[in-house]
Amino acid sequence: MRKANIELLQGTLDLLILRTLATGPKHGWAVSERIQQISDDTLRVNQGSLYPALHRLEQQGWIKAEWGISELGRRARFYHLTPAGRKQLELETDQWSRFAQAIGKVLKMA
Amino acid sequence: MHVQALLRRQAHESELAEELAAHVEFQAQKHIAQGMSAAEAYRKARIEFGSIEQTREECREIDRGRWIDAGIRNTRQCFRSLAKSPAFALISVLILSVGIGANVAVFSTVDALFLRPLPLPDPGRLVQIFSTDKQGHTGGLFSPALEVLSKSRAFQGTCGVATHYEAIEIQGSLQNMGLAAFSGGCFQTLGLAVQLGRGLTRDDDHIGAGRVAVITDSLWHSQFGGRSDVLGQSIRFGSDEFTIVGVTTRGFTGLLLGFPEPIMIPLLQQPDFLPDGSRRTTYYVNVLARLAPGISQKQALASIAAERKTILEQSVPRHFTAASRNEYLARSAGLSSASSGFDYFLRRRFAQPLYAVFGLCGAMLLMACINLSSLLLARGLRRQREISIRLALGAGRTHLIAILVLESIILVSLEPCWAFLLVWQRRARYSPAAGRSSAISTSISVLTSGLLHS
Repeated sequence: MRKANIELLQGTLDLLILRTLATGPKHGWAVSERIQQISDDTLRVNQGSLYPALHRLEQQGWIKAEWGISELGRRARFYHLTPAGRKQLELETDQWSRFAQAIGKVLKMA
Repeated sequence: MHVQALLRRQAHESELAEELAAHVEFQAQKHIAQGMSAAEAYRKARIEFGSIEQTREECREIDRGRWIDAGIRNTRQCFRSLAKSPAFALISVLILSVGIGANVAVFSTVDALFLRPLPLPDPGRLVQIFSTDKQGHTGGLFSPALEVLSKSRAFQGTCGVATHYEAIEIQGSLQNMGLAAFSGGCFQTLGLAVQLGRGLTRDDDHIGAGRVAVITDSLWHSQFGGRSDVLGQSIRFGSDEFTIVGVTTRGFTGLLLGFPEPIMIPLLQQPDFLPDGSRRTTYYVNVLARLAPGISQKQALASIAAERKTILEQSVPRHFTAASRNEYLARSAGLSSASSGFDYFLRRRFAQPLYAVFGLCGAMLLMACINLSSLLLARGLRRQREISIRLALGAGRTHLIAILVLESIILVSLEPCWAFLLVWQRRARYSPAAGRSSAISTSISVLTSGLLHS
């Protein structure tokens, strides 16, 4: 079966980034890699929208960036969740699962 | 502030570039690990990334929004919080304006009196030559001394000035005004330029020559409306009429410190007569000289001291009584810098009190600052609650500090705006004819208004 690359829905990228960062600080490439891996390559993050999203989340105070050294010994900008970001993640996760449930229900029953 | 913002933007720009470059590199490393050649890996990584420039632009847009947004938000918040305690804001502005206003007033007086040079070419080379009597009073010399001095190698040129304060008739109306009688070499020695007509020359400085006058730019504008037909018009002084032949350049208001002298006439054209009815040829003048190239003030002083006897003997007026003659001949001669003009008494009289007042004002500003800081401290204590609420709501420490600093800056910058309005409003009252002395009066009005409001 051919694997479909699903374009991310508007707003879901933010949620995925927050969730990925919940396991620990990561730089941008690691975030996109992780999302791709976990979703078995189903979800592909468009690099062109990843970095604007990271900067936007940083501006909203949900994540914070610090320069660090990557496992390959290169300087990279590592993002980590702030307390506000953790709360936001809970909120959005909750919203998303209710949304997904509702959609699933409609698809089954209607 | 501005430079810092620029540097920060530059640093930010390079950080952004590095962040995106790192991504491409990580992706390439991944491809290399999967067995691709380095060149191929980087090429692929770049293609996968898409337009780096566009991404950079988008990130830039977002980050720029953050700075501007934060700036506007913080400023609005500061104004709100100041408006919430108007008494505090008002008192702080008043305290600061009194402190700063007083200092500005005194400093501008010090500046006008001691620091500001005459608007002439190379004013630092101008010296004043004076005589001092036994009691230590300084005075001028009689005009024949100029001839002796001009032969001295220490000087390039000499200028004798007699000052009057008289009723002068201009275009039918009589007014009291300063008038300077210049010896023939004055315009040349001073390097005084005209913007209209001509200056006074040696040929004008003779008994029997045509009566001419040169006026300053400010008088030209205040009395003649700056019209070019001013040349040829006449000014009446005593029984004589003087024809205006020139207007000096803008900024020159006279040589005397503190008093403008808008009219200049030749020394020997003054309507003075000796007791025997003949026209006077020797006048008591303030003497200015321009140091010759390579001559220091010290050397010039030595040459004056050496020639003292000749200078005095050649210049003592013939009609003097024996007693006056002896008194004049016993005087000593001295020399001082005249880069900011002649001084009769202002500097000597006011130097000490002025510096004392300057010191006091400094102390006052210090006290104002202490007052203000204790006010701010008290306010800070009262705002502890507000600050802890903000912290609890997730405000960053840097954000809070930025707000507090911005608030102080707004407070401080409100003051000069206010002071400027006061000065502006008062400035209109002084006629442009006043010139240098108006600088003093303007600043004094700043002081008085500052004190009134305290």
